[in-house]
Amino acid sequence: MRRKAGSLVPLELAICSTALALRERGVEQFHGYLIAKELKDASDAKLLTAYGTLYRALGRLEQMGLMTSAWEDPQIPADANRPRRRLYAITQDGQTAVANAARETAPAPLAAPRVRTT
Amino acid sequence: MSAVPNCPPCRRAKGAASVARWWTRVYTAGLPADLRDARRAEVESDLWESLADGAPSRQILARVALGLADDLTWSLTFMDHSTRATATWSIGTLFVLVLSWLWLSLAPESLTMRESMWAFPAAVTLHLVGMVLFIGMRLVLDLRLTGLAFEGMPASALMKRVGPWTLVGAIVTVVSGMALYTADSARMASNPMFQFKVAALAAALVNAWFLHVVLARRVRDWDTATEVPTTVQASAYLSLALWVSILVAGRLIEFVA
Repeated sequence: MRRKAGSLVPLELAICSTALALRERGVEQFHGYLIAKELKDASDAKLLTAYGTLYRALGRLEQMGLMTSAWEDPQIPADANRPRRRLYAITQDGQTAVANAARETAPAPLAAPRVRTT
Repeated sequence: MSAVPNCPPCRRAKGAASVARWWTRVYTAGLPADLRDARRAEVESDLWESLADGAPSRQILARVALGLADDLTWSLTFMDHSTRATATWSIGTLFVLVLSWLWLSLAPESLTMRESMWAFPAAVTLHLVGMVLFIGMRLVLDLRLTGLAFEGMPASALMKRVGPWTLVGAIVTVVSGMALYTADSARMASNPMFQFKVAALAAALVNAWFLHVVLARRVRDWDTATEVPTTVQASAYLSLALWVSILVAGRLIEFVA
């Protein structure tokens, strides 16, 4: 099934929402494992999102301009004795997409009852 | 990367991480270098974080297993044309061999094929028509590759032209052949000519895979040449021999107990 242009699948929306939640906690950038853990905690799931599914979704979000990514300075992982991280951050378009999705899923306001005046 | 702790459960998790690394190397093997290296580095970083976080081996393996379909479809999206053709041919050949094996060992007897007035003759007719189409197309390509006919005709164009018709012929032949097999599957399975035919079919399929996946990669070097490389000629002669053997074995099945 083809998706509507510009629409997000639930996992992409969840990634964007989690990225916003991280930002609110002062974490501007995140790596794959961190977002997988946050997604698991937020949804109360038993497993972390699969490698293939997670990185494919992150790649799509970057292609859509909703995320940006950059490899960290090689000196940092060299000092910490660990592999280099690819760090993602949500863009302004990503924030707008989350806000739009929230508006679309919010219940429509009830129409005011018609009152007969005659 | 010494920060990852070393204990028995961690060793199991490290084993699972090796599986994840191996799988990542497999599905990224045919990708452009920048994409391949980026994905491998990203998974490596994720694995390191998982191990440092004390993730159990089952979690790592589950993340690999649940992402297989996404890994493969992502990989196919970014593969160049020749690698995608290689992957498609390889997976297709393996799939056909496994399915054929399952079919031959599990196929039930069909009452329709035994008792219906028209089912058996219709299947025989379709089998012959499919074979004429399939082996006819194959013959054209093999004659060009052996250099016995159609000299100078671009081999790549010929492969492209005969490919779809060969596939149609193969499907008709295989489906009708499966129907014929169910008419008397127990007797057919023990018939030495039928066994020879199946073995020759498997060999022909592997030979076709070798030609289209390995040898055709350098088709530009000998596309219009009258003299094609010896390996290509050998593959074409082998193909001719196998298909003729399959035809002969098919005819002899009913004369051998």
